[in-house]
Amino acid sequence: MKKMLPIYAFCLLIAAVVFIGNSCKKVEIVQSTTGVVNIYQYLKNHPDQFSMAAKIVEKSGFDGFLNAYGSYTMFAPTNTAVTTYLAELSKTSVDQITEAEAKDIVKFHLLEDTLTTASFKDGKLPLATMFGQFLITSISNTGGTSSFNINRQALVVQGNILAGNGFIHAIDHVLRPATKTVAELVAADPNYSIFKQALVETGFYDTLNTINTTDPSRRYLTLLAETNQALLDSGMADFAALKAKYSHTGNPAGALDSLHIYVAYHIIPDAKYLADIVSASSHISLQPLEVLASKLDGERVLINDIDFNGTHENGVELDRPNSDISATNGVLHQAKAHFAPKVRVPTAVYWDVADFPEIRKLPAIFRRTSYTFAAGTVADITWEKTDSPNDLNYQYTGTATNFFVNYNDYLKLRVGATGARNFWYQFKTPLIVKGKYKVWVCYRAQKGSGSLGAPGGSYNPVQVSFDGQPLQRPVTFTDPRPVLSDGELDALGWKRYTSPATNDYMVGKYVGIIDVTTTDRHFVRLASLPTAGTGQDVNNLDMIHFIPVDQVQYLPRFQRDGVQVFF
Amino acid sequence: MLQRIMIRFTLLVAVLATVSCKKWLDLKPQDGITGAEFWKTKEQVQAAVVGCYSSLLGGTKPVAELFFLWGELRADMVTSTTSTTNEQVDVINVNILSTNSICNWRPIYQTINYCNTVIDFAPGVIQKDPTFTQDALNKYLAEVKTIRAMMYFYLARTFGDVPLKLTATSSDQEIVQIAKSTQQQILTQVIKDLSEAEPDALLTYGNRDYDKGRITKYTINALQADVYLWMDKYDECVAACDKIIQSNKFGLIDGTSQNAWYSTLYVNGNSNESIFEFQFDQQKLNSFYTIMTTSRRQLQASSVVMDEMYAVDFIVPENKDIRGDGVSVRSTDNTIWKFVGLNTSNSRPQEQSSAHWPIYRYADIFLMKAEALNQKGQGADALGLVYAIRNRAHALTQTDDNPDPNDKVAVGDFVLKERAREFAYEGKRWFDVLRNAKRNNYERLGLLLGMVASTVPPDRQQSAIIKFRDKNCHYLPIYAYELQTDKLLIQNPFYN
Repeated sequence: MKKMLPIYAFCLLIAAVVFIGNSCKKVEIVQSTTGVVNIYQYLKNHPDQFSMAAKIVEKSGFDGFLNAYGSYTMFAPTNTAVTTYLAELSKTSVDQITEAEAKDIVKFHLLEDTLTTASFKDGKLPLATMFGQFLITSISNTGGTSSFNINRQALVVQGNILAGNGFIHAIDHVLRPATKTVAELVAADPNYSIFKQALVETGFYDTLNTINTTDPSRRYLTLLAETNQALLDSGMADFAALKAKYSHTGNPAGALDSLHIYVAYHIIPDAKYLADIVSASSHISLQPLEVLASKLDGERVLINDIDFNGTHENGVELDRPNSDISATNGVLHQAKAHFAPKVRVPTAVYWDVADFPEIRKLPAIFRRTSYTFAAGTVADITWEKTDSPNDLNYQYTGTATNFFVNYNDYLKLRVGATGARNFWYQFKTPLIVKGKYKVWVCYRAQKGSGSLGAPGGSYNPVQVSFDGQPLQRPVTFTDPRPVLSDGELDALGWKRYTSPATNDYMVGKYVGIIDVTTTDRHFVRLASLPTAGTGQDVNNLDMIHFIPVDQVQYLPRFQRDGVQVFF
Repeated sequence: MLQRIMIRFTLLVAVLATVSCKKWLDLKPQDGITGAEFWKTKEQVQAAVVGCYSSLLGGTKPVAELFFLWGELRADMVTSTTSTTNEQVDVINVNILSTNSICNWRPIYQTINYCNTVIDFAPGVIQKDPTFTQDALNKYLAEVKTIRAMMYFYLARTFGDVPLKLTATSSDQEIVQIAKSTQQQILTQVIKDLSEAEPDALLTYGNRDYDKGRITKYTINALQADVYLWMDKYDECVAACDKIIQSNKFGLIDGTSQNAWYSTLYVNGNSNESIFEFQFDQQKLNSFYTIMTTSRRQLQASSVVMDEMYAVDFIVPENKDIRGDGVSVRSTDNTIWKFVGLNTSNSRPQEQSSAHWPIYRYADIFLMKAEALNQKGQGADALGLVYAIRNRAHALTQTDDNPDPNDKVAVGDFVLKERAREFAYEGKRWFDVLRNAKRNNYERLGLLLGMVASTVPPDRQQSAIIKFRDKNCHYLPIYAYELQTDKLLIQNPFYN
């Protein structure tokens, strides 16, 4: 047995050699999911580009959190950028920057979100830097090459560098925060001397000269300043002329003085760069309940360029090169002409809901034939069920003798509180001047089942809301109007809105009083009340009237050809 | 005892030896069909050529869809909806990153590789199949060379500089890394391929569907005209157009009845006006149903198309440009109608979404020639061709610019606008505007700037305009994945 041992050993040895020789190669197993480093480490790993930026971060003491989990965007100045910056401060090395300075620099280059260049627009980035000021982005073209421009101070030399905790954008200059307030910017420019004096006299200079930390809604303010030239063009050569024109109480600092109102109308709460201004159609000014309408016409940014009561009012252009000037507490824009809030008297709006831009573009249909619009194709009319697309029926009556609707057309709405119909429809109104109005819903009564005026059958009460506020009375599209005189009807909240006024199924129904606070376009919503159940398909909406409370409510009446008659 | 040990030992060795990783028994290559089994008969050559055509219809993203997106997204005739994909929105907003899959050129290079494979291997079949003649071979080569040229032409116009690969990649060993060639080099190769293909190509296959769905000599001439026009070689462009016009094989389809015209030209396809189109059918549907059909469509016609390009006669609504409402667009809801309509009022159901994708039509020859003639200073002749197209289409007087024949810029703009009306949504608009803008060292850059000012959202308008001042921005970036896999590729300027 003993001599067997070497044979065993020999065999095992051979076996081992064969086994090892044939065995699978060891696969290198990668145990981390990614090799991407965090922001600070990235800067450290690329000393040829970012050694100085890394040093500043280190000095600020932020290196710790920049290397930890999170979501940040850093604008990292390259070494040449930092060298230029130091030279401007007449310093020779990063060591000469104090810790506080370093902190401010890093904070101004850092945002607490991950933003790629895809989210760079014409204006400010969606959130402020950790320093508290917004950065603005744009594009600049030098020598035929376009590149991203940050804060009008630095170009992006390499964008969208992915780090573990965010994105880095390498920039060719150090960004420097604004040091002046909006008021100081105005004061520094002699072109604004008249407007500056108006700011001082009305007390808004101080408002624009402080950083409001107590009221977050006033942390940033946007000023649309008028140059001396703009005021001169409107015949005001100096402040005295401006004051003479507006200040009727003699005390511009008082809130009721028209000069005060004039200046307040030029200030918008929040930091609104031009891109923000053109993104919305109106902006509330500091003057309570006064709005500035805005729009983009080609490349021009226009303020108060509106259609009112059928006439076009030309707007005032903002001068792009002299606008979007950042301040510590907001933004400064330059208006190319003089503008002031308009005094408007409440005017009745007889709104034909079956007349909107989309249908006017279809001459083969508009006032010629019926057509069903799909959800999303009409900008100013929306409804609940976007996936059942055929719920806005434009109806043309032709010469049908039992539909005396304005211009022979109306909208047929499928409204119901439950089931397949729409719970609500929403309309954007034409411009309504601020004031108190009575609202009338004018429709052609019809019942989906049962007969009109008799009990039973369809029943469809609808709640009308104005800017989200429910109005006092519902309107029931299945109700004909009582047969009474105009006076009696008025007292009960009905009217005969058509001419001839004989048919009791042509109904004007009073739904309530609204207090329109801003001269603007508003929203009217028709929502089915729960008692309506499944509702019905034939809710024939023809017009909605907004008539100032102190005016005659039951006139004019409307003929089928659209003519208004006053008898 | 020793014997038992030896047996155990042998067994052990045997077992260990066979559980190894290397496969000793499998001798066939695992990375493809062996060339030795294919490329033996002329039927196989034909199958491979047909494969090149069918690759135009399918793929990860169908080639026709890419051509549509590349040709329309950055132009002014489409606009986004609530269902538009983020990537499409980014392209519309001039916000294209290299990770955007719309700039993935893979389907195009796939087709190019199929063509290269035929060019490399088909000549060898002559020795193996005695019934396969040199003449037949040349005809096939003419077809695939033209397809390859067409693909490179689209790549060069879309990306600028692209890698030029003229040999087949038929196995893993042949994967090579190649750098970009300049746009000029690509175009030179395109011209070379086309002039090699021209003498060999057939005039007809004896069958209408083949004539419109496969490369004929006329397809080559049309492509030549387009390439020469892009390269500002107007005499060559006119000569190529004239070859087609003088063949007397084509005509403009009569536009008296809009419905019949639409049906002949677009719904059924392969009309007498068509020169070359991608042949979608019931077996191979196009991808336009999801992009353009009503409820959740990704793209729709922008409002300027009906308002300004075709215009509307508000007094007599029946008086209309037959190319507008009911053909290019359904104006009631701005649907892009050309490829999803069954007639001027009813849409195709999904299973019938097989409208052909037109590449060249006879009308294109007219308008390419008009553009070239105008550049040569023959404005009056150019206008004659434009009015032939306009009269067929019953274009409205509102859209007649009535330019002075000697005013090169005005006539050029008129031709460009007419092209927009005639080839709406046929994937040509962006390339047309870019070609006109870049002429004479970007003399008319304003065309592009004016266009982008109206297509991007207001809060990005200024950025987009200034981006477009950089001519590198007119070309798409190289897709990020390509950069990772081919280290010799350098990202296009503007995108790094």
